[in-house]
Amino acid sequence: MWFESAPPCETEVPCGDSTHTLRWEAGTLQLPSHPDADAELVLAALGGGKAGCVQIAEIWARHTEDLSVLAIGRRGSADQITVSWDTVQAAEKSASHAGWTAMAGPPPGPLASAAAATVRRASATRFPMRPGHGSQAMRQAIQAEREQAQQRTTDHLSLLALGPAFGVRLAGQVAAAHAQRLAGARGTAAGAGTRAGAGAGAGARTRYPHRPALNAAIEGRVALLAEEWIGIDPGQVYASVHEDTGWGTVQLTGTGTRRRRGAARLA
Amino acid sequence: MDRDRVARNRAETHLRRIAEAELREASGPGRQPRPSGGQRAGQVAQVLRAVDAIDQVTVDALLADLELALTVRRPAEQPSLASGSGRRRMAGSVSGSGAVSYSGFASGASSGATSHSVSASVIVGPSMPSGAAPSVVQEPPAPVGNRVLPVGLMIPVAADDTSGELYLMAYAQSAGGALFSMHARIHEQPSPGATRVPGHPPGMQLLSNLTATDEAGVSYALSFSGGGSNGEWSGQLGLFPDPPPGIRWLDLTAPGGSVTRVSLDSTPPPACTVTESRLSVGEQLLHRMAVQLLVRRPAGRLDDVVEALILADVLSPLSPVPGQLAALCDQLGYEHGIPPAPGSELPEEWRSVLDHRGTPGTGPGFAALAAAFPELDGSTLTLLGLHSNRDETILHIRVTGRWEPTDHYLTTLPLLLWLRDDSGGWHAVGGSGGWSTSGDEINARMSVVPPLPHSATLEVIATGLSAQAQLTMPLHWGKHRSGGGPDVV
Repeated sequence: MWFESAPPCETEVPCGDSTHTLRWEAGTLQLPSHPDADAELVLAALGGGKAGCVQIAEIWARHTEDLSVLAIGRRGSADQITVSWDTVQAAEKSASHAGWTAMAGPPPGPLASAAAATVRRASATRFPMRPGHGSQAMRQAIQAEREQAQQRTTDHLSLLALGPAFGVRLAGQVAAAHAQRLAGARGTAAGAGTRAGAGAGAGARTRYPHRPALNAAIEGRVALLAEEWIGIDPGQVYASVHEDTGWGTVQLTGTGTRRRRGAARLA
Repeated sequence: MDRDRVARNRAETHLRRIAEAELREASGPGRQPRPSGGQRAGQVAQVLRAVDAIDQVTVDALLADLELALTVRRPAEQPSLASGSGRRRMAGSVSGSGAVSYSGFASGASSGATSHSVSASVIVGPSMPSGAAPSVVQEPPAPVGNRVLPVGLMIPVAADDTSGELYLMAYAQSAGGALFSMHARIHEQPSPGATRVPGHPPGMQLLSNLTATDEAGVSYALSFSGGGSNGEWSGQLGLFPDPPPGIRWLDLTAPGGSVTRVSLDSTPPPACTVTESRLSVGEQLLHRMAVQLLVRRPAGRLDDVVEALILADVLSPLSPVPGQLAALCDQLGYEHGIPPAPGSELPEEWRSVLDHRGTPGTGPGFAALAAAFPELDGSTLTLLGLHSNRDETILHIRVTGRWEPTDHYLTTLPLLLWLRDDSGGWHAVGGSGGWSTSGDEINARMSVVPPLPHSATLEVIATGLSAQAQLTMPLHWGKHRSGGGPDVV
């Protein structure tokens, strides 16, 4: 399994008036302070409060296949991201006030602004109406979309606030989920090809709508390694999902002994 | 289609690569985040959307991710992308030059319109294949219920310590409502002890207190929507409630009680010639960018755009237009990054504008201009008048279709627009001088570069993705003046 090389990790998260430990181990998120999280969820559904730890576990579960985790998260050890729980709370508060009034100006603080901006962006393009326009249904649709965008942004900030160790493990989980999906799509395509007598088996490009996002995620990470190890311009690194048997290939164009050695190491 | 799917994948991959490159610039040791972070990706996203090579949902998600990714990598003291983005700054209601925008009803009724007077970077462009053979000549088929006609009337207005002239250029009525396109010059002569309404400059007070009555005795409130500064106001006066479609005249009552009859007799529309566009979709987009360069400012990383269009399969790698664009940039002194293509000759329209950039305007004036183009690729364009200040010419237009002025700093109008005066000089149209929305219609005031001389005729070419429409109409110019009675042009 992909997570066998990743040791367990822990962090402290706000939960009510105190902080609790959140643990990741063998591909699973654990809440040691909430041994019966399922029961707590039932109570929450009946109107009780939801513990902070449980909320975070829900956020984690919502994004285990979300390619945005790869688009936003760290690309490497030198890629510094700092999000604290205070900023998450500020963003939640700001985004909750990012209705029409947000059009008037930016809310304070970059992270809070990002949350509000994302909320604005969500409806700005698909609902080009301006304040005071549109039917009740239109306004409700806009509001719903804004809330969804707000939720998404604060979710990602919360995941980043867990720290880099959790970030890399969630990225692994997302990548593994899509690798599995891609393999499934390839299998389907190969089967169809066999039935049709066409060459849609090994080597054929499968239809997978998330290929550009996956390619970019791989490239963004490999490019930094290539820059560090080989010293080449990261903008000259091209990567794509390997779709054949084996582990993949590395190809280096141009000359230079040092670069060739580096390429071998990269491979 | 498989080819289309592959092209769309390539386009999306290209956009994501650019986003990654921007993120790399903002992260890692020794790298400094830039306030303009996200701009390259935003620009390419707009281009790819304009040619329908990527869907809006993907663009929204990608840019939202990039915005958040850049923000969480930015030190706390840095200005945020959200607050520093030009696109979002454009949502403000006061332009950088201090011009004020305004929209509202004096009566307090909801106008259903919002107004913006901002320096939106607008590009409108040519698709002017020289010698294109006309294929269809037709009367502009105005949609049922739509009506547009020239007015050409100067109405003196005065109240208390302010006075001036209101120039009505055209009357338009459609599903979005009825309006007069207008320009006004208001002079203030404050009397001692006069009270001012805060936030209501004198021009607004006058323009917000106009009423009208039709031949059936029905009264209307007029709502000014537009912007202005230094006593110059332009935009439109919306009528509330909507008049019936066939009214023949309106008596306009100005503050102070003076009444002017505005004839709304229909005039035959100019004949319109429709031809097939000979430029590819990608080439048209590059032509729009050329206009952006000619009218306003550098349009960003053009090499990104050219590559995106080629990958999206809407621009041939052999097209001469990227080379022409590069040559234009060289002449204007803008960086472009496009590989040089020696010997690229500029299209006639670009050359004409280049040769006459900086030409002074012919002075204040206004022209009663009204014409509706046939629908081109889902968009409609209606011309609603021209007015000139000392140094600039402004074209009033109404557009329906896919257009988001606040969100398009690269490609604004869904149609390309060129003007040609009676001496053969070409004029680029771009750079919104303000816009307002009413339903799905957008009323905008566009800069004309170089300023239009007081030409006797005007040729207008509007181009969509698949076809272009061309019409020629006479222009009747009225001079601005102070005082005096109605001045019909």
